Amino acid sequence: MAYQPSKRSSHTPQPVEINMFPMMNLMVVLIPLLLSTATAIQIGIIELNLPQAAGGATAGMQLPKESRQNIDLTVTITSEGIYLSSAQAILHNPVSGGPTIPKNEDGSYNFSRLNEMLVDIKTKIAGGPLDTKRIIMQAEGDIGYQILVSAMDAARSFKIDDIDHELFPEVSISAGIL
Amino acid sequence: MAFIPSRIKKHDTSPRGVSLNLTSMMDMFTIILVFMLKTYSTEGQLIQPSQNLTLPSSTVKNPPEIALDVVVSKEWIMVNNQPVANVSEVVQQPGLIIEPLSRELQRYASESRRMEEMYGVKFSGKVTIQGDKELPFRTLIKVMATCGRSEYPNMRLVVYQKEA
Repeated sequence: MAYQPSKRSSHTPQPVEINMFPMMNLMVVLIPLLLSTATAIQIGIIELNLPQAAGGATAGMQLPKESRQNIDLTVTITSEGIYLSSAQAILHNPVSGGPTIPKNEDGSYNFSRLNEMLVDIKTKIAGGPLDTKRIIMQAEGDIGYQILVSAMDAARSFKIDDIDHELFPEVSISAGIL
Repeated sequence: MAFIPSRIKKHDTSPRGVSLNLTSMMDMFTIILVFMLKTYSTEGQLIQPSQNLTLPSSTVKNPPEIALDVVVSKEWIMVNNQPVANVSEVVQQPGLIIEPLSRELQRYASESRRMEEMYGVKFSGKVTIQGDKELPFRTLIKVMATCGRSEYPNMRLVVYQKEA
């Protein structure tokens, strides 16, 4: 009888499983660590362009050029609504004669309308005055900080097809009507 | 014919490990890990939002910078977490300049100028202002006017970023 090779030596090898426990341990440690250090809320800052007079003590601040050519576009927030004005004139509401942008019926401010009007002004003054990026904000004493910040947002940029375009990014704050 | 159980298998005591299939879990973890590493910022929190106030939210994209920290909470005006003036007193006082705040800021400014002379750390007059979102403009403008007159004209307002 011919020699027959052992059947035991030719059995198919069992699939070798990788030991995943060290890797699991790693993951279990790393993920909570990263989760705990992740910043849930992003913080940003709004840079302000001061009216020149307030920074008088510092050297190196540039003096205003010929003020003749400045438009001095100003947004004034009052309890009735938002006024827009320039060095020459106040833009009154053609319908009511009151604030340029009256409040909404529910008492909130109409920032989208403000944005639209500023886009309109921006296109009209293009190439004209020197300060086509600057805007002055002032408010009545009781106006909250959030409203001021929202007005700055409305004045900073406008969106076309989800792309931000520059509007009046240089914001100055004035204590005009306290 | 009736089924007869195998005699060999009956005495089979070789360990038949019930292995947990971890592959799908590993996939999940790997994706989460990569995602978290991507969003991980090495800068950390440069500005710690203070207690007792809610910052306003804004669509602004500018990242925060380190600067002298002026906090206007509901009760206190603080410079680098040291209270210097009470908000309710500030509201009542006439004029734009808050004297105690001005003194404190000038102290920091002179310290910074000394640092500039000795170690060359440039004094830029930068200050970050954290205010509660309900802070009236009257108080805010007083704080800002005081900063402006006290050698800190470069003000930044700290806000929460929100999606537009």
